[in-house]
Amino acid sequence: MSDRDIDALAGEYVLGLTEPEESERIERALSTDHALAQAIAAWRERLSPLDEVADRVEPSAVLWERIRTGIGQRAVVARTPRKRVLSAMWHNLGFWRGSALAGALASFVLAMGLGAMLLRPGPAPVVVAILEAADSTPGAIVEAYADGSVLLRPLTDIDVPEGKILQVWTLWDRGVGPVPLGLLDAAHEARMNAQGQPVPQPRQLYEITLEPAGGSPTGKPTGPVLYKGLATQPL
Amino acid sequence: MSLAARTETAFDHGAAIMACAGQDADALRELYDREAPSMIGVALRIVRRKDLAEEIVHDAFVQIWRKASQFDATLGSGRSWMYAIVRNRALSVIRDRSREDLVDDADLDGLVEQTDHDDLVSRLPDRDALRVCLERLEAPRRASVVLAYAGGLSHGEIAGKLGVPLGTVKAWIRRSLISLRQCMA
Repeated sequence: MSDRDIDALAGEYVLGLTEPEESERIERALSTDHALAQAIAAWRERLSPLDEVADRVEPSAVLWERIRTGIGQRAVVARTPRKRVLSAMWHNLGFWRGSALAGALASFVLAMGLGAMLLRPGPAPVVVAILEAADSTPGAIVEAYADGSVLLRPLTDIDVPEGKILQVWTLWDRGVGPVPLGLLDAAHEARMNAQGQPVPQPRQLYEITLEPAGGSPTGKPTGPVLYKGLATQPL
Repeated sequence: MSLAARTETAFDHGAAIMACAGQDADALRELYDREAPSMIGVALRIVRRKDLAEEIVHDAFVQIWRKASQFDATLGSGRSWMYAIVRNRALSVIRDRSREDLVDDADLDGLVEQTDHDDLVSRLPDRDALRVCLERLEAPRRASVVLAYAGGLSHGEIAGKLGVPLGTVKAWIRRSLISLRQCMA
């Protein structure tokens, strides 16, 4: 092909006017045909001012979180410092777990835990949710705050197989669908960020699913739901 | 000089893309903060539905992350490389489903008016080389190029919109590309 033909073909390709088969052929040739790659890059450069004058449209609040999940990045899952006596007791779950009375005690733990949580100084959560397994065993407590932070407190060890990860989700609108809050490699207390999402509502769903390492590849839950629960507003 | 060059001389998109190749998610976030709104606008001109435009920008950023190591700064700017990914994704969405389907599915509220091609050219800075050279083309030829690039219209759709035979549109586009290239050299 002459330079002029290559250039016209490159221009048509950049305009999006080449037939699908031709576009595929061009894309295959790009890695080896430097002249073609240069001609295409030059057309992109020439026409790029038309991109710059596009209207700016603000993305919805969850778009970045979905992208971050899509690239397999973990959310901020730094372990939160454990300062308070009640809180420390709360975390001493080995004792509770080892007990043969675990089932009955779980309710007690829950009552104690919620009580402790609500008595704590500092900003109160807007909503709390107790996440339960399918057999109603409590697995974690979620506290969501007005500043967009979400604190997850596991109540039990969660078995995370090799190559898997725990992913925390929330759902406030079926139209939007579940939105990822963060990833956890094991059951530990974690503070996650839901900034940009609407203020948490009573009856908002929180859940933990088991996902491939790196998190759900689709941005929506793909694995089994381990624990879930609806938010309630503390008094 | 382009708008971006005038307003964002300090930011180097290419360097941020190369940081993404080194798994630096903060660099991707920086690109997102700067470009996502404008990218949604570019996708919206083509698919005309905000939910789809966001989906396209989502896919584009995942691709930017995954293909970052393939970016070649000697070929062109990082910015135009990123926007090519957005446009390619948007074009494959509308070519996979016919535009009719897209419009039928849409809530009327969610549907965006088709961009006016002349308005778009007039938004370019006065002395922008692309603007000057586009304005040298006869109006229907200029419209063909802008409808294809910004609106994502096919040869056939352009022919229908401008009421001219398909062969005429193909010839207009080809000749316009040659003129633009000479004019912008």
